[in-house]
Amino acid sequence: MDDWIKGEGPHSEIVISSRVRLARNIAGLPFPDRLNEQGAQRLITTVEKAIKRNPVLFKDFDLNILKGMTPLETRILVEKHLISPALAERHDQGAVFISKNRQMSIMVNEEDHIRIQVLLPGLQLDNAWDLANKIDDVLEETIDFAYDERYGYLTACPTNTGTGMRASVMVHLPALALTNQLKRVFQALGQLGLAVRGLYGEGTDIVGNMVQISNQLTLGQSEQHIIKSLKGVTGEIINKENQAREAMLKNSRIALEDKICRAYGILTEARIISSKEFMELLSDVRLGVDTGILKGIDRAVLNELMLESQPAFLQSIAGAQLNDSERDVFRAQLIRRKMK
Amino acid sequence: MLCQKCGKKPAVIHRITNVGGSKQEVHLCEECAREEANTFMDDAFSINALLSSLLNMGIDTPIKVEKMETIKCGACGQSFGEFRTTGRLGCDQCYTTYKDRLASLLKSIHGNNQHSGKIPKRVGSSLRIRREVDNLKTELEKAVKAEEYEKAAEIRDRIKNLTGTA
Ligand SMILES: [Zn+2]
Ligand SMILES: [Zn+2]
Repeated sequence: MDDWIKGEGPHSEIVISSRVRLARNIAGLPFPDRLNEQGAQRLITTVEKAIKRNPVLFKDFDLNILKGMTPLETRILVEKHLISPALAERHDQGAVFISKNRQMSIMVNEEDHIRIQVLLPGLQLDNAWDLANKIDDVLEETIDFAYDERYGYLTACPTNTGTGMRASVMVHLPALALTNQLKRVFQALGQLGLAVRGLYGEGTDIVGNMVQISNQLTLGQSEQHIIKSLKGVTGEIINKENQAREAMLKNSRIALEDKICRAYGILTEARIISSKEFMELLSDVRLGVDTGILKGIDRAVLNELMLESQPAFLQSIAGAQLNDSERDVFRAQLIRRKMK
Repeated sequence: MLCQKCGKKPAVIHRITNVGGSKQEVHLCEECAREEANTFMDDAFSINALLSSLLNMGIDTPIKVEKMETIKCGACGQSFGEFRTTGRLGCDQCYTTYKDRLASLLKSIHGNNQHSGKIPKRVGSSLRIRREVDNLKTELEKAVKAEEYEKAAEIRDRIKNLTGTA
């Protein structure tokens, strides 16, 4: 089981996961968009060689070449957050090295030649940076990265130039949402130069009060500085969310209990449920578990459901192709089976 | 607050962009943000915003821009015009080919165009020493100002050591 699903990391009652991604390119080689298939193939071999030289990485990472995978298999990697949607689109060139515990992955031939990603449960930005940095150190022993004294790591898109780093946390903020404070929080985050997104990153909606917060700027600040400020901001958001939860428990407990228990009732009894409705109800139930209003439900079950109720995952569990309405029925079945 | 684009729905996505050194707030509703996201490069800024900021900086007159479009990178063959449409550079040499344009573009995106993060160990040893020396020099100044002469002497020795080995 992927570690974030266990729901055990630091502050996991609010922070689902922490992620650090580093973009790297090889000096003198055209970026993936301009690289032909042979070049892309050679690049995969280059990265494989660099990994093989290090006994620890060699033992831990397995190579997955997208070309040998079905669209459904690729899609599941996206739903598990192991590869980006952008890599999934590069079926003929893309590859990914995934660590045994699935916390670390090295994507090859995404928008940049190499993207190192570390995804840890709870609030663990320092550890995530540390691991990503170490993988980077190993790769740079044999690979000459495109690097400029002034601009740092050179990336295909100028929005990543410099550190090439995107650090993010996935937070669950139901109480701030219920007390209509989310907008104000987003505004403050914007002013701090942080980006706010939905569950699947760029351009996705905020569903089920799951919010992804990440740094926007990559040039001019050190990695440590970026991590430190994101960590500080996340700490403040945790405080705000906790305050809002306590206030609701104190001032409107019965209303909160009602909302949470109704959500639980629908989730465990519904026969047809869309992904959006599921995410919204799941948010209420999760709040119920976190506040102790609902007892005897493991947070891991909720995270598992969040993962498995997605389209590709559902179909792989069902072992069949499902259309939208079939999926909604199967999703409801799965939830009943897991939660009852 | 209402969405800046459609003016109808409440704004839920908020971010700050650095346009030509002046900060601008952008507030969008979910729908408009999604629409904009379709033209996002990676995940931060729209190509249009980037390029309009580039154009608004008074560096390029429209005629110059047209000429610029056809300049190609010698290493990868991508033209500046292609970069304008895709938002992606073709290779690391593009950074040299479009040096002047990128200097201002990067500054407009990040509010800064000097990297101060990680330096690769193998290629960056002299660079690392130079940055360390720069830091020590600042420390030295502070020590002298605070009249901590013993500390200052110590720092001076460290600088000597570093520059001696460089
Ligand atoms: Zn709008
Ligand atoms: Zn080029």
